[in-house]
Amino acid sequence: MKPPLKPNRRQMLELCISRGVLAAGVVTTLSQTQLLAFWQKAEAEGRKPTVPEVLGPFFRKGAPDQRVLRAPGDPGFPLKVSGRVLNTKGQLVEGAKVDFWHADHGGRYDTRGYRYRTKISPDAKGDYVVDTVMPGHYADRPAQHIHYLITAPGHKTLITQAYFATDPFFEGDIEKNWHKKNIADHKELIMPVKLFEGGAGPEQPPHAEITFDIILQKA
Amino acid sequence: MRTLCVLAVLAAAGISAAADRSLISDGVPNSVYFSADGKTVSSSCRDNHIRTWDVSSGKLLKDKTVPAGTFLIAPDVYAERDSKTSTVRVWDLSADRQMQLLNGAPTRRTAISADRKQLATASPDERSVRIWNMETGKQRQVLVDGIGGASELVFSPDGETLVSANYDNDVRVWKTKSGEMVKKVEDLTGAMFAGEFTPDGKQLILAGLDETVYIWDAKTFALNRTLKGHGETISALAISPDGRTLVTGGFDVITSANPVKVVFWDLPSGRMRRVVRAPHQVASLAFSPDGKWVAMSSGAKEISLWDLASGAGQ
Repeated sequence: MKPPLKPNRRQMLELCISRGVLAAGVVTTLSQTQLLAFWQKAEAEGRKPTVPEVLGPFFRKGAPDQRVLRAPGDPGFPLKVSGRVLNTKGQLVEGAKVDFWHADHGGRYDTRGYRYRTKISPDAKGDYVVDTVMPGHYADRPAQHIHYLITAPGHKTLITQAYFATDPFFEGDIEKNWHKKNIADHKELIMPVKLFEGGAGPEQPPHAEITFDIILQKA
Repeated sequence: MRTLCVLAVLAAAGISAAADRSLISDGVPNSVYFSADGKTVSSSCRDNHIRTWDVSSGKLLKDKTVPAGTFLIAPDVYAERDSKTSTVRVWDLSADRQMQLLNGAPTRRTAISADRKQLATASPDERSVRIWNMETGKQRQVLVDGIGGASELVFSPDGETLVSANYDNDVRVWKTKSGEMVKKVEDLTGAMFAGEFTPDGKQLILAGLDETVYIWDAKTFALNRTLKGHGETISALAISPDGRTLVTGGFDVITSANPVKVVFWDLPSGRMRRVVRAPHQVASLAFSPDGKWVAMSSGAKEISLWDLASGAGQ
């Protein structure tokens, strides 16, 4: 059995706080050894598998493995999506394949080709990164979202979606509106969004980032 | 503005907009069927009514309130699908009689065989298709389907074959008696949303996301040919009783509210005969038993009727 991936201090703190092993206020006083003990306790409690959502009608098999979906000049706010594919013990899942697709800036899915569609293999650390644009809104399902289909040997296939906390659809109040119009089935799939101002040149535009870790269950 | 632009484009392309006749409805019709004698059209509507019209006069003959989740699944047969209790009640519309109650049937999609002896149900949560004996109400088969849920279920005319198209893009074909999977089509790259066997049972026709009509040999399930040219995702289709005309209805993937096309095809040659307009996504298409009329529901409070003899199919 592989050991859990070695995290940095920030990742250990995030895990401990998210599982209620540590309160946010005490973290600055912890030594590395104390933090490691708390982290091991949190790890032992296991990670909750990512919740499933529906596949939807717009999935297309056969997407190419491409990390950059945003072409020069594409309309839409640049978006970087990253995360890791792990099992419920926090271990790297080997051989995972991630199908990833979403509508373009105008809310239209590409049904003839593979724009804003990819099927990627996470790297040796289980990390995946996709450079794309913020999905648009469309009338039949007016919340921005990205579809995922993840397969891995020895694990249950997961179909899920990621939503955006900055989406005007939620009217600035996730607690109140997360289930509006029955679109998002799980509040935990609404991802915090980090906004970056960008650099001086056009190669470093303002952009948004979300981190979506995917936790698979054993088959 | 977009709607006006699309209408202008359709007009410029010589696509006619008006149906030959319309049956006016207080609710938006979903599934549409002609009666066996062709004299009436019935539809389950979004406002939880099933309505029946006289075709020749356009007069509303019957208006029945039904529970939410109820769909007409064949001429004169409707299914009440209750997701909370995982039950399906199947009713005879004319006789107003419950034909069967199926327990333990989580259902998002339903199909009934032509002889009314088998019902197929599917739910994306289960990743399976179930076949039920309509005489006993007992489950006969549980068939392992794909990961996305069924996007279309179709029985062959003799009831010996069941086809499930899945949102995972694959199509699976089973023998209904044994439950044996006899074919899995894995090379499609889009879900199939609509399907029918030709009336003689010799061909299976499916169409969907990738705008293409696929025609398979129904014995070997080898792909015979494809028809391209509709130019939109296809959400509904129907085949004429003589097997010579196919009609396909479209779906604009940006919103079901946008206008779309309805294409009449000559099946033997594969040529497009005529293109007409639908106001919104086509939900259902049906031929009259004599092949004279095509009925269409497409998100408006009416059922459009196209007279093939007067032009639409020529």
